[in-house]
Amino acid sequence: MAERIIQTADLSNINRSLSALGNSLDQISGQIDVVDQNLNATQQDLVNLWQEFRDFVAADVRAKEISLAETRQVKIRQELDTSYGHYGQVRRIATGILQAADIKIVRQETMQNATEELMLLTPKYWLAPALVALGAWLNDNKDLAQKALSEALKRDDEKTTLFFALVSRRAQRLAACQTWLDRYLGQQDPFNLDRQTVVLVDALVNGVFGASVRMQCSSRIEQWVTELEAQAGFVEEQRSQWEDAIKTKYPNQDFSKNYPRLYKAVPSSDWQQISESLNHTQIHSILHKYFSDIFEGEIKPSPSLNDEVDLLLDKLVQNFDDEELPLRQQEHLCQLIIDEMGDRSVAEEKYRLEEKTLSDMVSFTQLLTNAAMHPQLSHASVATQRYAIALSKQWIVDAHQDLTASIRAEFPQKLTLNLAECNWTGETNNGSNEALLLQDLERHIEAQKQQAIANVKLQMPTYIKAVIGGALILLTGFAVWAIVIGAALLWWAFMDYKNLDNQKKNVAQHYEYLKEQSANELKAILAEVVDMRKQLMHQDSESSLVSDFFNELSSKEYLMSAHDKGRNLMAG
Amino acid sequence: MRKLLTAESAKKQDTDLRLSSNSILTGTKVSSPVELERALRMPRSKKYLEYIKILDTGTHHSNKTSLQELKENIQKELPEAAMGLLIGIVSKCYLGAPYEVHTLDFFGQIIEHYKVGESMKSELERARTLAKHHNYMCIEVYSDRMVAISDDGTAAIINK
Repeated sequence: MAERIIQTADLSNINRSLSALGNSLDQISGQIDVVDQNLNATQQDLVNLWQEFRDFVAADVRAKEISLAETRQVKIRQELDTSYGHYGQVRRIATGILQAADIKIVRQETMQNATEELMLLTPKYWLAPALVALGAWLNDNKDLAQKALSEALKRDDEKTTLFFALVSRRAQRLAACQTWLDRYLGQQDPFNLDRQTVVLVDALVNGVFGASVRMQCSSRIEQWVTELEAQAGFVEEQRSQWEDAIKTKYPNQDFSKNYPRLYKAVPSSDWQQISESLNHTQIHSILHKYFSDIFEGEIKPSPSLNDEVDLLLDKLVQNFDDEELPLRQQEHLCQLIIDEMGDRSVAEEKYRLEEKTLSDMVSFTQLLTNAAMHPQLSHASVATQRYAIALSKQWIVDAHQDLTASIRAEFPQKLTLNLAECNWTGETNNGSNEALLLQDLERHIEAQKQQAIANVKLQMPTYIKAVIGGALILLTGFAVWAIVIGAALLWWAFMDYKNLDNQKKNVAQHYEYLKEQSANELKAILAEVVDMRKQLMHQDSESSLVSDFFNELSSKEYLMSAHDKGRNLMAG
Repeated sequence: MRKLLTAESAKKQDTDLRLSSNSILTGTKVSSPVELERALRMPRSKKYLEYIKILDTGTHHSNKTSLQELKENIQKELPEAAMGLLIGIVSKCYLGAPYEVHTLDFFGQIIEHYKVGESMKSELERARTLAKHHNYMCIEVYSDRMVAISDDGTAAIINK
């Protein structure tokens, strides 16, 4: 009786314990699945975190570059102000004297004293003696005028000559103007022109000079072009010059916000190619708008010749002093870094392409290119831009054609897509193989699933439990205690076996979920591929806008207003 | 009225070159790299474009004599100095899917059609993207550059 009671009590306890153990195992198995899923999610989070970290570092570097460039720019400006600030006063007086002389409200002595004082304030500066000469000329002091003029010419012959050519024109002394211009043009080498020659071109195209002077300048410029054209490789050089000039207009847009999934899915080399193609193909619409804006509307000349010449004189005295050039170049690089939001490499590349705009000596055609593409840096007027573009039309068309082909040759072709969550890689060109990719992705995850299910099997501890349980019962000759413990161990092993199905079910569920998620992700990525291709093709098709624009330009004539009541025609 | 210096002089020079393009392009020797580039930039003749069009068809696929004849005809339309540098011509294939481009290999003396994704000889592979572009009839691949020829015969140069 006692023996039976003990047996019953022990077995029920063991049964309960085993049942609890079985439940616990179920829970553990479920928890393992959750851990597995969490691990996958963590891996993805890590990838995202790495990306965010890289973005953060890049943003930080850019912010520091901007801050550095701004600080440097302030220092450069201070240096310019310290070293050359006193030139400002001299520069302002240049047109001040002329305007004062126009209305005759300043006494001759005052004018003389003011200009002579400038000589003391600004040693070595060409404009100071030039102004003394101007003042003396206005006061009819020939000796002083000649002395001062000779000093000005010694300090900077070309600027002084151009300055007095413009002053003579302003005073309606056409013969003197012609003499000064003759002198200026005679000094020029079309392969190595001083930057300020753009002022002469400005004067020419804005109709500042009289008909005979204009003819003289035009024929000299024609000679320059003939000389340049005779040089071997001239056309090729123009094309490459214009290619560089066009490249300065490349945008540097970040497309990762437009195509976030594609950005994450493709390797960085592929993304770089995509980003470059998207940016570079925008050049067509940018160029079209740029050129259209230049040629839009009528250019209204200044109401009087004096105003027009004063503008040119201001331009001449303020913008072309070579000693300031190195600092101006550095200032421009800082400005480019700020404009490019701290992207130093892009800014430096733009600077390299624009460098010729800030060179002290340029060829005549480079001067035209600079005027057309960088009017602010080269200080060219809209009329000069039109003139330069019309003159360079064929070179622009050729350069654009070459550049378009180069951009097209770099279009991204086969894109490698990675889905980190399921460790899948596929390739697409334009997203048209979506069905095949989806099948491949499903096959890939299915294979992972089968592998994972196959890995769910009885482990060594289960076999040990079963063997010990069986051995206990058999080797002890069916002793009661052995039967109890043996049966418990066998039951435990059986529960392990029974739990396998649940584990497999959970694994299968997880992979089914992964299939659905990954398929949706892939579809979204491919949709972005399609959109990206559409954008690329659309932007590429806009290349015809530029060629059409120049085709139309050839049939037009540009009417230039002139202050001598004549009319100039410039054919494109 | 006086024409200021016009774009005409630049245009005229270019037109002159184009008018004389036949003489430059039809196998005439050019001596300097600049002259070669200038010659390669000349618009291709109608004959040349016709020859490129028939690469897809005709007997030259199977008949070596016919292929040789076609090759010689094409060569006649190109500057002689460029012949030593010409590796091959790549153009869009109109045989239909799965074919994408075909090549006339001046070394291998064969015309080959390539399917989508099928690798081409490495020197010619770089022309594939351009060859597929609808704007270009064919791409001439030289050892130091590629020349993209549009349907109207105009040429754009992509230096290596």
